[in-house]
Amino acid sequence: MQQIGDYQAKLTHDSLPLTLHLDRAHLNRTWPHVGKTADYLIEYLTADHTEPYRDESVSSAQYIANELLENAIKYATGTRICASSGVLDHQWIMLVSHQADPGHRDNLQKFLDQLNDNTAEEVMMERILSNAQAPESSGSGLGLLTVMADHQARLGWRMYVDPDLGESIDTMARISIGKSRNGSDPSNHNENVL
Amino acid sequence: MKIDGDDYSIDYDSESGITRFSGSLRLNGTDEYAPIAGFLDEAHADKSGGPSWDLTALEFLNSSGINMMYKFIIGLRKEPGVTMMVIGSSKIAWQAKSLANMKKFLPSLELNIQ
Repeated sequence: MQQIGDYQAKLTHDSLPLTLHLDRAHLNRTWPHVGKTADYLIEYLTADHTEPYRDESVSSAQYIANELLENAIKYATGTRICASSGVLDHQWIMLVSHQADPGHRDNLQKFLDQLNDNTAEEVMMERILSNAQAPESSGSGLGLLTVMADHQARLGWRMYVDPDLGESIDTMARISIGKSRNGSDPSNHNENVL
Repeated sequence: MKIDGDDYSIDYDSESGITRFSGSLRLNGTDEYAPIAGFLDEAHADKSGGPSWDLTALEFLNSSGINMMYKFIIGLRKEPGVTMMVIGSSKIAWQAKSLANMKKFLPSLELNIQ
């Protein structure tokens, strides 16, 4: 098992776990459900709280949930994607798990290597410029970068071999959300940290 | 001119020269965004004086859509003296977080966040 970045598997007891079962022959039919799933995860998050979370945080969580699920659909090699979302210690945490081939793991490692010497914003700006010069490219590669650079999410990954599913990967994202009783936010991390 | 999808609408008003986006855009990658990129190019070709986008009703845009917009804006750098106006909303997260990046690629872009 390999753990990278700011990974923590702990979720609150009232987190919402969902499982998507993919029909690989008709992924175009699955795609519209990604956004609806992300929206549902966030609606569940905001449905029962006497002190509402900040609108900005909730909207960022919705964006991040959507990007993590889109990536899972693109890179999962199996037919099952598990997603959980919840709040713990003023942090909204999302965990997405799926099977992945070693090539995806290697690509992820290359992506992380870029972030060793540059900030997420610097890498994102370079990626945007290179995308503009490569019209034939089908993917933007901006999902995780916008999550980190624009929405200040902390990301972490766990790569492991599941006894039943084989090579698998968990992706975790978290952002500060909500306010403490005195109005301050003790977990307000704005730096681009992995 | 207008282009509609299940959850979004993009409308170019040739009189005002403004392209208005509304709804939620979460298409899958560059290929699915190609018709919209083509629509924006057509609107730009129709309007003299540079494109104007009103994004205030575009509640959600995924990273592939953001990439499409950045590509369009970077493409304008080949047109010296071109001006572009973008109207956005501070109440919509992706706009509050990502629109400011547009000016980094096209400093002459007029960004009006309401």
